[in-house]
Amino acid sequence: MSGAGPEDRDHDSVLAAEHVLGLLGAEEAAEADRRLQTDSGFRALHRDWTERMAGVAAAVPPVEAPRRLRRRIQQRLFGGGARPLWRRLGVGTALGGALAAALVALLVSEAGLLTPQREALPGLRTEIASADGTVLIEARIDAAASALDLAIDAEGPPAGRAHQLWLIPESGEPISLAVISEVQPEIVLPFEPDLLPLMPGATLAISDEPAGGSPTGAPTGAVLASGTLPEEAG
Amino acid sequence: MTDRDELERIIARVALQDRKAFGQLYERTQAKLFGICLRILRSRAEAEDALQEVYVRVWHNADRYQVLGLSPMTWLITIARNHAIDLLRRRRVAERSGQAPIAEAMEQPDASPGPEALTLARSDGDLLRACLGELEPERSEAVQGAYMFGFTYAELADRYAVPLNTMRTWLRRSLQRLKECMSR
Repeated sequence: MSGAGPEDRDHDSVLAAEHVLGLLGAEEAAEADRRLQTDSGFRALHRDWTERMAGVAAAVPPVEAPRRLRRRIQQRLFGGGARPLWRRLGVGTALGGALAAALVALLVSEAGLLTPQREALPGLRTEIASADGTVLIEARIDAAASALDLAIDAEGPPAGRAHQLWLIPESGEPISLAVISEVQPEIVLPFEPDLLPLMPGATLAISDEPAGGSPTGAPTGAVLASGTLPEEAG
Repeated sequence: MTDRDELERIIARVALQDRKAFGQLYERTQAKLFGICLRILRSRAEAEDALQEVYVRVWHNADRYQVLGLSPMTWLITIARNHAIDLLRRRRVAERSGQAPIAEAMEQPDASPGPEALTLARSDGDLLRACLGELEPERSEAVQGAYMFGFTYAELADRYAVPLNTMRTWLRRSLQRLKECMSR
């Protein structure tokens, strides 16, 4: 191309637009790619068209992606399972039961207490999630059936380990609800009806435990994920 | 701090491999990008796969964001649009033996806003909308169809029942006019 008169610029601008739209044939596109590397004027034209045309896509109404996608993406990029919450808090993972319970209790109190007693309400929900998004469990209390409905998006425990689900009331020790050795997408977990009044405002947490569950009756391993039930059904 | 500044700050941290910033970027932009993937691919399963790939690319290319000189949303939208269009074109090639899917592509499969949603709805698209509005409706639609559905000249010529060269001339003139209008 000789010089850079207005006609050349117009031609280049249309060429840049066609490249942005993807209208060029393979050869022309390769040539345009080459110019993008070497020709700052063409690069600027291309950038302007990219901005202009993005407005077309920007007008498409947003749609929430399913929550599990974030976990999948992070797993693909960062690999591995859930990072233990305690490690992130700067605490070692080999903790005794009492300290473990205390830490869990601390997490609960951080979640906000000091609220008056209230009646248990049906339909309480929470998400038991790890901070890095690699564990996500949607939990719903079915008060009438005295059961916990769990929709699980997480890896199961490694061989020889178990995951244990705890109910940690606003005041009191963690109560074991289930030992999970194998993950299914949906689990309905019946519980004793007298636990129901403890549930509003309580924390649900998953800890890593030896196969068969905690030997002490309190959490002994890392807390993998937690979520706090609301005070009232929302 | 404006949204744009905030997003640029987050992308700069993602470029430094900050996973938490990546989580923030995802939360702020996933609905927009998922909407675009869904609109282009018209299949939830494909849009979900596409969105994963888009954010993997965002993570790996964040360090190149700054040199491109694009606004943060344009950068993200372009990654999503280009990837979705690639998938769509591959699918179209695979489908070519069957019925031409092109005629259906601008129609909507579900309850999401219809073809008229291609007309722009947001205030920051006002100028683009106004300028697309200055084009003949068919030409405006052809420009947007090329962008949102990756139509080639041949597919557009087929769709509007004009010779290939006529289509080429049409679209190039339309792009030229669009640029003039938006630069005014």
